Amino acid sequence: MKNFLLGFVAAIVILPVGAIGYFCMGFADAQSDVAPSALESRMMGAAVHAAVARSAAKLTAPIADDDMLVKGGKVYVEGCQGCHGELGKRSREDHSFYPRVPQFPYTGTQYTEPQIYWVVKHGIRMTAMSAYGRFYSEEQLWSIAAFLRRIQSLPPGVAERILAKSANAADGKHLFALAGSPSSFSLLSIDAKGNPRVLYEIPVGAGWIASIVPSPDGRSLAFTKRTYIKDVMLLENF
Amino acid sequence: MKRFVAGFLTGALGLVLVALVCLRFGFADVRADATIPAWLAGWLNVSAHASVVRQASSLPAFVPATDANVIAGGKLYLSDCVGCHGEPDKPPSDFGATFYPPAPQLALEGTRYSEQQVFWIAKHGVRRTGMSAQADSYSDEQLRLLAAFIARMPRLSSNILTEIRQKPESAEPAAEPKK
Repeated sequence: MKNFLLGFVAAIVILPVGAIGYFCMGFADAQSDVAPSALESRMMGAAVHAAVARSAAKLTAPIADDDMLVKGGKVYVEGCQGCHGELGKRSREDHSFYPRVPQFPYTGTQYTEPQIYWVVKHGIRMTAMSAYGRFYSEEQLWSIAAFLRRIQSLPPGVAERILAKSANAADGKHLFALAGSPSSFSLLSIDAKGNPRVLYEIPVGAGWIASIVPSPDGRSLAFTKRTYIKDVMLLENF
Repeated sequence: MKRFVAGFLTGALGLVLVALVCLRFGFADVRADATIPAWLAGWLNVSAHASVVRQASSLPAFVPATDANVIAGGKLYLSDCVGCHGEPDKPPSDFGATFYPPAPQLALEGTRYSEQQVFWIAKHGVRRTGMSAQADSYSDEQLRLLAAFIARMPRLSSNILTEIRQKPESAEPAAEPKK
């Protein structure tokens, strides 16, 4: 029995000391441009998920409407998509962070709204996910959560509204804007007095508009459908 | 002896099991917005530092430390690194502080890594931190210039500080050959 106890204590002392030595002598690889092993990804993914589920268990998400999804989507486009994948673009794989950054437009997420809210607010240790609680309001955090939860199943028209942008015509007298309604989506020309004029109208679901680009001479205007280069459309500038 | 081995194995198995159970049931604290204890930050640093030293020591000498090279590196630093690592002569980065471990404030504290080691870190990134590998965004040549700049922070001459804030005339100044 005495020998058994001795062995037991030896293991409890030697293993941590060995582990510390392994790390301190630089045997643990530091570079992040190699993918984590499947074992590490699974174990750590499960540990983070379990910890987040435990922490966010008592939170309840507000009910989300389309406006909230648009608001969250705009925050995503501005603040998150640099690392987490561009809305409306082709799939991409992260290979510079360790652990890898989830690419939400292509993978979606298994986390619930309160869990997403919690992760964005508090961040995840020992990953590149920093804590955004001091940069975003509670309302913004919940809207990001609502949006991310549904990023692969957004109601019709929401993605178009999120990606809507405006551009100035080169003559300096007109502003081009994209505007969405529940049934259609329009490209508008707005003059100096604020009068809008519909240049082009697309029924909802016909395709995304991602950006508008005025030509340098101001005579034509390009806008891209679905953001693929081959889908560029040109409109004459009125 | 047999008993000792049995005890040793039980202890080893017990340690691993306890660790796995803690992880699996969500007892690990994962929030990044708590302050990292100094001892933990120290240990994490020791491990990363030792590994970088092991990997990066054999790299050859770098670009000559001319003002032109340091300035070219400084321009890269200002365009892409300041968000997390702080801008020279400015307060530390709020954003860098929200990582766990927090991003080192190079503009304020400088770094104990050598130029070669800074190059290696920028190129390959550091695991389990917010530092990603930059090899896709920058050429080795650019990263060498960047390393030349970072290794000389935080003590930079006012001439260099003024120069790096100038808008770029040419896209990318080349490294000067040795005189």
